[in-house]
Amino acid sequence: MNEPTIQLDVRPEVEAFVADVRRHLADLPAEDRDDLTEGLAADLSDLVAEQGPSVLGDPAAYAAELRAAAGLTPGGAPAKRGLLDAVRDAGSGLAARPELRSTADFLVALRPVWWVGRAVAAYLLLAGFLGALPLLGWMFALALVVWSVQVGRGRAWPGTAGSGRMVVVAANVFALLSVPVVLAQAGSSSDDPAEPTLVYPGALSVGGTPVTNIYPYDRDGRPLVGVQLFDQDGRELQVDFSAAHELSGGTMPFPWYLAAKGRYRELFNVFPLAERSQPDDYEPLPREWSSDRPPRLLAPPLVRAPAVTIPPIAAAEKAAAQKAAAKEAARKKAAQAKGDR
Amino acid sequence: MDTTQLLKGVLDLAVLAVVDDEDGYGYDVVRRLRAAGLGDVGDASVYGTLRRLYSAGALTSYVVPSESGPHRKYYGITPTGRSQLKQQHEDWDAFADSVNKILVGEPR
Repeated sequence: MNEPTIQLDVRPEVEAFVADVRRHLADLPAEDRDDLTEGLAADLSDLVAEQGPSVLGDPAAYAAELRAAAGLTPGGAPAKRGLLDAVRDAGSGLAARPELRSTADFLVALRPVWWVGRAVAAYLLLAGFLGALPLLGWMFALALVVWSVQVGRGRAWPGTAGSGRMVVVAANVFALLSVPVVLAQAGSSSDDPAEPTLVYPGALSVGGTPVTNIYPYDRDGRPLVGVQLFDQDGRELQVDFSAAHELSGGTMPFPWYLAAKGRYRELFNVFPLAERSQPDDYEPLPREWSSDRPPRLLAPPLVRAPAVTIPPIAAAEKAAAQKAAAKEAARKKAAQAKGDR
Repeated sequence: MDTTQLLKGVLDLAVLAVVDDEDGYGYDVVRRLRAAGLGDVGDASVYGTLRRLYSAGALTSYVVPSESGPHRKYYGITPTGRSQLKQQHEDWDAFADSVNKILVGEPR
């Protein structure tokens, strides 16, 4: 006879039509109205599946026919229609136009994606406020997805009717607006400084301007070559070669290389970087060093920097100087004594 | 001839007969009526009739829950409905017999 459970998809126009019919039966006791319209969505879905959405006619006439056949009193004015109903009717009317039908069907098919998407957006927003949520967070996210889908299917509060719908609309708008925020957040969290890429978002800058090269000097003020720089956590302090190329008007910094197992890694934290003028910021390969125009280590901006010191070094130097002086004096004295003999 | 008026008089009988044959939900009943030749029957009229027969105790109804989408409401006939069907069936036979006799006597 009949299967224990059935699977039915209710098209949005059927949902809207049933809601309209119910409005035209609003003067009936709730029990009568429910009796009349319970199962109507299922029946009309069958009808529409067989004959297309155009089979749904005027909800007022339909309600009148239901009422007459059921032997109930003819109705008065339909129940008050809210703003949401008007908006939805306008949408349904638009979606029913032949040239928009397939697009509308496609968008309707995408609704579950949105249900999941808004739950994920809500979770990421909350996680942003509450900080990283461990295992509990995943369960929470899952619960949000289930809840959102049930709301979308009209199975959880507030269903397909009632003032609660306004809250759902507001929440949807909020979720839509939060998508760029969430995407930006997700994008920035993938910038892991431990994984160098061709473009280094964590590159060195001074006052917002990218640093294109660094010229180190020792404490006596002599230029150094091949100085590796790391920050307090051992991360490479690197120059963004694309930014440097662009900023300098076409001067490409060339990295130092870390060779390992036949491969090499480009290091932009070893200074000074060699440079070469070239129109594009293409990948600075080692073979460029043996090309017609190899990159060059430029002369440092200062021939010599001032000598610098800190007290312990100054003291140690002074002690060393005194020791050397004493040693020299002793040597001279010895030489003199030898000559005296 | 407009069959809508005729249909009104016999819709109860037709619906009872269809449901007596086998339980059915609203649109299923509509489909069976149309398949039997009552092509003009409106689905809202059938749903209303089902509801009225249910209120009068001629039909029972039960809801078959669905995992997704709306529940489906099935109707079955009650003993009251069965006796109502039997009575109306006899009335219809007598009525149709009378009309047929009149039509046969009518000069062509």
